Amino acid sequence: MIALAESGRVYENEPILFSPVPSRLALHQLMVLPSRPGRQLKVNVWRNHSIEPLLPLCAPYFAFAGVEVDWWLSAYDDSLCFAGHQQAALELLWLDASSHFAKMSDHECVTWLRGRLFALRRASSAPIVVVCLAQQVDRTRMLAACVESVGDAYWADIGVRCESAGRPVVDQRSASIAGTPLNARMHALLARDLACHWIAGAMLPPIRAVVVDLDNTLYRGVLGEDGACGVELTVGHIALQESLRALRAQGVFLGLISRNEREDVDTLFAQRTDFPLHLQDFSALEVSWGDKAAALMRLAERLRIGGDAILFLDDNLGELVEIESRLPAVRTVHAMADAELTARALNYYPGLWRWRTTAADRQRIADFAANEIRQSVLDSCGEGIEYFRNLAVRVTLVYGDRRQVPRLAELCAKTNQFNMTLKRLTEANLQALMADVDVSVCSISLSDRLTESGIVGVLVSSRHGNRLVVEELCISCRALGRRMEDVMVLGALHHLPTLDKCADIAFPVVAASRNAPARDWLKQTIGLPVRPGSGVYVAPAKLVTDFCPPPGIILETLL
Amino acid sequence: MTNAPLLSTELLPIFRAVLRRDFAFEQDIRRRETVQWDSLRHIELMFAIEDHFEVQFSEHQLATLDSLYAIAAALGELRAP
Repeated sequence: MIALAESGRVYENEPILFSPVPSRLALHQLMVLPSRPGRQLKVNVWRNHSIEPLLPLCAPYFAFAGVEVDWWLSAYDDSLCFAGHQQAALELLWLDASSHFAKMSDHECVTWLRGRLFALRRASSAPIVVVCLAQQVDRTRMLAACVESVGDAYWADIGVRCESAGRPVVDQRSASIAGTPLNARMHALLARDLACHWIAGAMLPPIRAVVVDLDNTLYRGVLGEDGACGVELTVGHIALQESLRALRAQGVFLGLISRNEREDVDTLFAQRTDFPLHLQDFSALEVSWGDKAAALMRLAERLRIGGDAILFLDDNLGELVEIESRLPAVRTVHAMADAELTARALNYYPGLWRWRTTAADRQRIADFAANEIRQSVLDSCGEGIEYFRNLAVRVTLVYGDRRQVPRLAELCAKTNQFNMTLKRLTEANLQALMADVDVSVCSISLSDRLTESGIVGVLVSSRHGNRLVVEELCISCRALGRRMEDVMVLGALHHLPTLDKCADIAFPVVAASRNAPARDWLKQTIGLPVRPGSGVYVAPAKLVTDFCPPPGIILETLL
Repeated sequence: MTNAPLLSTELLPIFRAVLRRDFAFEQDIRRRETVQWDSLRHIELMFAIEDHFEVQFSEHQLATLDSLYAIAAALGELRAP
């Protein structure tokens, strides 16, 4: 057993966890091993059939992700009255449609479920995941659409999963002892889906970048010894490279760290046109003979993401141990000799799979590339009017548009570096705030001649007498570093309908290790002597009322 | 004649893993005498055995098999040519 004494991460478990069909016995044997304490999250399970056979099989996957789940299980309740509800990080509806729903027409079923979901939504702002055994295809589609019409709610399709595994959904043979007709031969596969995709995709912060080694990771062989034409692209490595490309298309950065000569790496990608990956697919490269941990730190800084948003793949266990020791927040996966196994580990890594890919996600890679160009414009024009005119920068402020709530909630959930109060407002929270006349919710969009970045910021403010309070302020990291923070924030405050007759503006701050950029901006903007810690910082409203965007920037508002 | 002793040896690791107890070799394990063998662990045990040996017990067997030797005997019959 290869165990890292300090961190407890055991790479030898990966072949068990990510085998094509996980063995129930092997998963049980993993459970008896000590695991490192993880982040604790509570999940409420509202059900009308048993989920207990799957929960022990989920545990090794949650342990792999560094998460401890505290399951709260409701009584079996066909009516879904949500009795005894208490707050949790996620609401899981675990339903067998063959009992209760079978008596309803399609219309009755959809109407009933929508009513129950909105009732749950009134009680809880947590994400809702619905996993339902429903064998009628048309009804399944209607129920899925119904669930997805509720904010921050997701439908997990068991039928599609079973079909792809070539196994029936139900097995009445075991229904009486197991308390569920769900086919026992699907339990291990569905436990993996539940832990690594359905729950992780709704609850865990997303992984923003996958950084890979080259030799014996993206191909079999060593570039420096075998040469560009001598390294072998196996079927498994094709699958791995294609998985990486698919992640890139969803807005996950790809990074490359390799101990090789840069010239050899350039030649490799130029000559190996059979590789699914191209050199330009990588947003950041660190090719040198230096220290990989230091290279990873430089890469993270360049991508403007924290270590806990990075997943690092390497075939060398020594390198992984070194990264774990020096950068404990970085996630790691051992790139195995069987690259199909590695591809599956990537596909199932908790935090990589997301329920939805938004336009903002798909735009992320292009935005980053555009930032590199912006830097060169800055280097040639210097800061000032010419820089903004060259780029034709436009900031658009929209106040109170409910259609933008999903994107604004995504910003609140995902933004770490420029996030002033870390409130993590959900879609339900934002909808409720928009209904309050003393509260303003503003979206901030950014574009220039290089990219349409879309909505990159959210500012939520409330008026208390003659004081304006900035309740939440988040700006996406891809909008940072463009010299636009003042325009976005002060511009959004300047045009607030609720600013009228305010004497001062309060900035509550919750200090965390990751939001130093937000706090540094506040320090500079309102003239604090040091970077602010947690507390409330007040500035005169004049700071905002007198604000005027620099020439060269177009600032437009939609109230 | 079933190969019950061999199956008991193959079954023992499954019992140990699911019931989280280090059982000795060459003795039967009975549900009524094993406090860890509750209803939830029984489900896990039977499903893990089915998964490992690629067999399917009948509904009746799933509910009533209640000892290592009984399960071994049932497995032997299922796997007999």
